[in-house]
Amino acid sequence: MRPKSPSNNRRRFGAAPSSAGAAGPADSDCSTRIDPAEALPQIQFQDAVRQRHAASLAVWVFLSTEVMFFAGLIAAYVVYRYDYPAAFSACSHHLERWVATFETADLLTSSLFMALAIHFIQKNARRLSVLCLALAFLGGAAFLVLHGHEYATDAMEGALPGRFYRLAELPAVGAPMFFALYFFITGLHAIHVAVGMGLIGYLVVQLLRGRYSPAYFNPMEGVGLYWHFVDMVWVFLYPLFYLIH
Amino acid sequence: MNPASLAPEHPPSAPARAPSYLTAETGPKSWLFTHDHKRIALLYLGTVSFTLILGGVFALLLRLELLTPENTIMQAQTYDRLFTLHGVTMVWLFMIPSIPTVFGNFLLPLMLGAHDVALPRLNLLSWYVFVVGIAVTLIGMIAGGTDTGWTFYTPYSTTSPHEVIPVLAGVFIIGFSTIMTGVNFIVTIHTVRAQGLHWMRLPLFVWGIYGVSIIQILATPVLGITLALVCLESFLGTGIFDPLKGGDPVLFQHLFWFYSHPAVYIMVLPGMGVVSEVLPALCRRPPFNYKAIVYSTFGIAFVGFLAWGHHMFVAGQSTAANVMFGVATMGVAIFTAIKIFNWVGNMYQGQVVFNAVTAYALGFIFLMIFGGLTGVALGTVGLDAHWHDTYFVVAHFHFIMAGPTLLAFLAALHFWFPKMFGKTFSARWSLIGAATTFFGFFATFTPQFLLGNMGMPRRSYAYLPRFQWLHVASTMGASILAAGLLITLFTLIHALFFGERAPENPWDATGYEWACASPPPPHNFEVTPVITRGPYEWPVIPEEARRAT
Amino acid sequence: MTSEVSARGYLVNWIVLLGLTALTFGAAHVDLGGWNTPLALAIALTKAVLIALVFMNLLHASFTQRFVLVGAGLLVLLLTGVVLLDARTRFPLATPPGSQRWLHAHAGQLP
Repeated sequence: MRPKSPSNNRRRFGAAPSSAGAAGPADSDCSTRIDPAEALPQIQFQDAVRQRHAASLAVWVFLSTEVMFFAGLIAAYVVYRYDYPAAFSACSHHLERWVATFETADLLTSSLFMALAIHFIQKNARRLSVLCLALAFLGGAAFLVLHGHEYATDAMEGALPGRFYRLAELPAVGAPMFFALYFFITGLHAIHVAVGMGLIGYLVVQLLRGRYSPAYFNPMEGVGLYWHFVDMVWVFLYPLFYLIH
Repeated sequence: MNPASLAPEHPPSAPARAPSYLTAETGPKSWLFTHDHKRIALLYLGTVSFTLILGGVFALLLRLELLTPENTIMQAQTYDRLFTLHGVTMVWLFMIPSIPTVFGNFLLPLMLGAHDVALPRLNLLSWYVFVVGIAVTLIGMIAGGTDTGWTFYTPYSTTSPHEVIPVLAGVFIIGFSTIMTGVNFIVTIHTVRAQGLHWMRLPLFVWGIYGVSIIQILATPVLGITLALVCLESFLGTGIFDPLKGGDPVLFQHLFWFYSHPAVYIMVLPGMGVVSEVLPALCRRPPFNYKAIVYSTFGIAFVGFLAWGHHMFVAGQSTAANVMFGVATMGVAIFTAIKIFNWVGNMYQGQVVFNAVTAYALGFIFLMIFGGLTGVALGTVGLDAHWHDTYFVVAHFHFIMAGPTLLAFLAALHFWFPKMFGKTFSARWSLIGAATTFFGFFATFTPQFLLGNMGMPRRSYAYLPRFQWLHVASTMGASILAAGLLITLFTLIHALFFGERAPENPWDATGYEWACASPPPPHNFEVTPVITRGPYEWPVIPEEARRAT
Repeated sequence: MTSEVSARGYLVNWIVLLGLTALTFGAAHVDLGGWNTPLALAIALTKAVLIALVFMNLLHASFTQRFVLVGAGLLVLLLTGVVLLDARTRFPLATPPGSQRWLHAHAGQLP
């Protein structure tokens, strides 16, 4: 029986494995616009649809590992909030709620632009897509700036984890624990935001080089999923740390 | 395979044999930068062979020390570091990676009728990350190593003056390698299956790898974050697990065991997949009940996540939690039992071929049964109160986890040796190696059940004189085990260089992986296959086996 | 997984999410007895689901992709729930000194 996809037959094992890995355009000229019809799938996939599904599934599975990564920290938070309810409430009121609310809105807006960027590349509106990515990037940057300011304020007051804790006005038992969890969990989240910004920057460069088209934009989808996930995590962290009644 | 796809490939005057994946490209760069899943599998094979030997050397040193009641060849501090390193090496550097990274990588695309895994570059990266993780762990070991036990319990691990952080960092890095492998396998199984290969035609080894990958990706991140918390506390004194600062040491145990209990299934499920795969071939019968094995795999994976607190029965955990975990522990045993009944049923009225692989498979089942029974016993809170932290537990987990994983690894290595290298090994010496290994294993750990029941605590280099005869027996067993492994190693290395050319399908097995050449060409199949039969159906095989290169 | 959501759909989703953010912020300043935390979590969950379904296109995705996140989420609940169960039902003196259960056992004495 003949193989299902003619493109596979082109990839007889005369070709070295690495060349079979080119899922998109030829790399001969950096500014070459790709012809979407030339976007061949890698040898292990029967067609480009399968490859796209694989790319997206890979990112989803990776996101589930990220969920579990935060899970341990959330469990620690839940236990200590149960153990020290008064201290946690006092510490939460001490944090800057308005700044955090603005940060939440900022990340949600950044997510919107990310989604629009993918929307536009599917319509082959490359410039709009680049613009949206840039705005998403700026949203992430704004988040980090605001958050860094929060950290600096806390550090100057002495609201720090464990043995560095110096703030007298909050309960001595429980507050160091709150700030240990606060800095570690939101810090981990901030690292994810920074990584996401790096990925978005990479996408902008690739877009400007003409690497993506309506026929192939798997990396954009992948980074988009990651960025929305980072937003999702913050959606939970916001009430958990800043809005304890 | 569709026979029609095989016919036109062989003109009467066949040209020289097409290059296999071993010979198609040469030179170190072609290996270190390969995307070929088969070469990556061999890179892993070399690495885990090294870590197995390393962990084994640690074990032998421990057993030598335990020959006499007081210190024999080392001080207490050294002993503590050695059992920690033995645990860390065996668990994270050998058992967890071994079968999935070697045989999962090699066989998955072959068994799925595909040309490679879904994410070949991620595959190569996972090996590099693994090697870096091993290097970091080794740096920690050489710098003195840690003496906390492989379980890193707080508050000792956060306050110990010894080299905890490099070892934790190494394990953390290896965790990423595990996650990458798991992601790759899940995506591969979902997206590169050949046409005609629907879910209920998947080989049972593939189902085993699928179950393992799910556990791996969900559980390993929790370990990662827990070790990171320990590092932070060790470094910054955050107090998260320190009672003096309002922390809860039992919380560490919850987080640690939430990963480490499913980890034991990560270690043993691939082995179960191997046994489910080799028994039908060697007994010439399809599996007793295919679906039962599939569902019990997921039963183990699911219920395995509910049972972690049975490691903490006497740690201060609440009674309510103890009850919940005790019940869940009993539940997991049911699914393992289903598999054992299936394997035994597979052999019933089969035409059993007895060789080294069969010996390993039977040894696996034997150890599972007795390891499992002692596990059910340990899962009873009242009994655990007596046995916790004694050698009974040590014997239990070696019986149920270490032994079967090792035996399954060796079974897989022998069964697929002709596929991977195209050579045969000595039937006699491999059987001698298998028997010696199994007997040595049994002789090492059976005395330890008695020791534990008599009250010998674990992780203690000095003991009361009345325990000595059992320790001597156990050490003798360990020597036999070492001898068996050495015999096996030499047999296989000899076969690699001087073995005869193997036939395409020496076991006359039905698996899809036997339908391509042994060893396979770089892209596995010259023509993308279309699957038209189940994985355990005879007798289409002779035509496929006659497909010479 | 095509982006079958229109630009308008994304915008509407964004506005709804902002509205829910305002809601949760407002609710935090009102005393609802013991219901503040469950309400905040419920709103957060709703926002997360909307982000997943609309921005991440889960509405139009395959079963596997939907299941992945749900499965992980259930595990988080399992871990958190059981750890909390243990903390709530442990013998009081086996809890961290200064925690509320420890304090009850000591009838208000501080460590």
